[in-house]
Amino acid sequence: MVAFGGAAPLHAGRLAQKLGITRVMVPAGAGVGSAIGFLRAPVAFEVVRSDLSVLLKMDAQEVEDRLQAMHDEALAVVQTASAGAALRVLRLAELRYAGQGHELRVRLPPPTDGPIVRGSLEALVEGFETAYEQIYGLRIPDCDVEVVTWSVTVSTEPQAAQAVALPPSIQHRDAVSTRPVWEPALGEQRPFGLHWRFDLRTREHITGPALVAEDETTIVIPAGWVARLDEQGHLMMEAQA
Amino acid sequence: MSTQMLHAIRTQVMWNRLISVVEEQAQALLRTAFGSVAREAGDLSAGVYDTQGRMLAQAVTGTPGHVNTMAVAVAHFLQRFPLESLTAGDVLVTNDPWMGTGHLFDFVVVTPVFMDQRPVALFASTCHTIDVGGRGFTADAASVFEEGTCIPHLKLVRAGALNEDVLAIIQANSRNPIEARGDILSLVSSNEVGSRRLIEDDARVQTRASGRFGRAHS
Repeated sequence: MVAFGGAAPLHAGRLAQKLGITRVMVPAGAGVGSAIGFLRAPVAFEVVRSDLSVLLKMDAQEVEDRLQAMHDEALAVVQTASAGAALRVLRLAELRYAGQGHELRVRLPPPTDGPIVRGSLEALVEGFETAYEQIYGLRIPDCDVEVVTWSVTVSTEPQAAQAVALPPSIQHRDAVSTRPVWEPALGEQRPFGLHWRFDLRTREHITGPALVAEDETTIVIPAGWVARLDEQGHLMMEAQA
Repeated sequence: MSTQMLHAIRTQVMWNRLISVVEEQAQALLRTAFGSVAREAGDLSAGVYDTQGRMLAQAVTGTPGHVNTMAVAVAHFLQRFPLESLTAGDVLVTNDPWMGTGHLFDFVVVTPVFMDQRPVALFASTCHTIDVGGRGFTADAASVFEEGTCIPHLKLVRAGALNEDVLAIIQANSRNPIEARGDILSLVSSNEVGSRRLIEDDARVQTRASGRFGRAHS
C-alpha cells in the first residue's frame, strides 16, 4: 500500500492491518505530493484549434501550415522555461464520424517525419477507424470522418522513475518521547513513541507503536510494525511476522 | 472475518462489477450515438439479461421511460428467436412498439453473449432515433401506421455479417437517414462493449461455484 496525502499516513497502518497488507510505503513529502508533482512535471504548453471539417476534403498543405504555426506558438512559450532541455512534440486530432457528438483523439506522426501530405490525412482516417473498432467493436461503413479539433503540445522530456534501494537497518532509533494515543483495537489509550521524520536516517529502524511527525502529516506505526527509510527518504513500514 | 461476511462482500463486489459493465455499455452508446436525442439528452437505456430474458442489471445512465419496458422486451425477442437458434455474432433488432419499448422511435438491439460456445447472457440497449418516417414526432397520427416505419423482430447481424438491407429500408423511410443508421450501429457497439467487459470479468473472476450469470438459480 502507498499512503499519500495529509490524512492517509494517519490511517494507513490500521487499514493495512484490517486488509492483511504487510508493507506500507509513505513517500517523502506525502502531504504535499501534488505540489512536488507539479514542480517535477515536464514544462509543457498545448495549443488547441477547433475547426469542424471533413478530414479528406481538407487541403494537406493548409493542415501542415496550421500545425506548423501551432507548433511555433507552443515552442515560444516552452522555451521561456525549458532552459535548453530536449523537447518533444505531441500532435493530436480529435476525430469522429460525421454526425456524432463525441471524438477520439488520434495521434499524428511527429513533425520530424516530414510535412503533412494527402497520405497523412488518409493514415489519420485509418488510425481513427482502427481505434474506433478497438473501443466500440465495429467500423461505420461509408461514413465521412470529420476533425473537430487539432492540438499541438510541446514539452520537456518527463523524468524516468528510478529504482531505489531499501538498505537493511543496522541500528534501532529510540523515540524522543512518548504520547498517549487512542488504540481502537484495544479500546484504550496507549503510549506511542514520538519521532521527528527529519531526524530519521537510512539504515535505522523504529518500532511501533510509534508516531512519526513531519511538517505536513503524521505517520502512525502500529504495534508490531517496524519502519525504515529507503535511499531517497521514503518511509517503508512492515508488519513483523 | 466470518465466511458469511466475506461472501456478502464478494457478492457486493460482483454486483458493482455488473453495474459498471452495463454503465460502460450505456456510455459507449452515448459516445457513439449520432442522433442528438440519444447523445445529448441521454434518451437511452442499457442492461444485461439472463438466458431466459430476465433483466439482471441496468445502467445508471439512461431514462426510466424505456428501461422498464426494455426489461420485458428481451423475452419477446427470445420467443421469436429462441436462444438455441442464435450463434455468436448474431444481433437482433426491432422498433415494434408493443414488443420493444413503447414507440416506433425507440430501436431495441439485443446481442447474445457466448462463452465456450454456450449462450450465457444477453445485452440489450435502446435509444430514441430522430426520425423513422410517418408524421414525425407529433400526436397527429390517427393510427400507429401513420407514426412511422415498423421493423419487426429481425436479425440485424448474422454471425458477424451486417444486414445492410434492413438499414437501407430504415434509411429510405427516415428524414434523417444518417442519424437513423448511425444510431442503430451505435446500439450494436454498445452491446459489443458490454459483452467484451462481461467476458473479461468472467475470465478474471472465474465464477467457480455457481456457474455463470443466469444459470445460478435456473
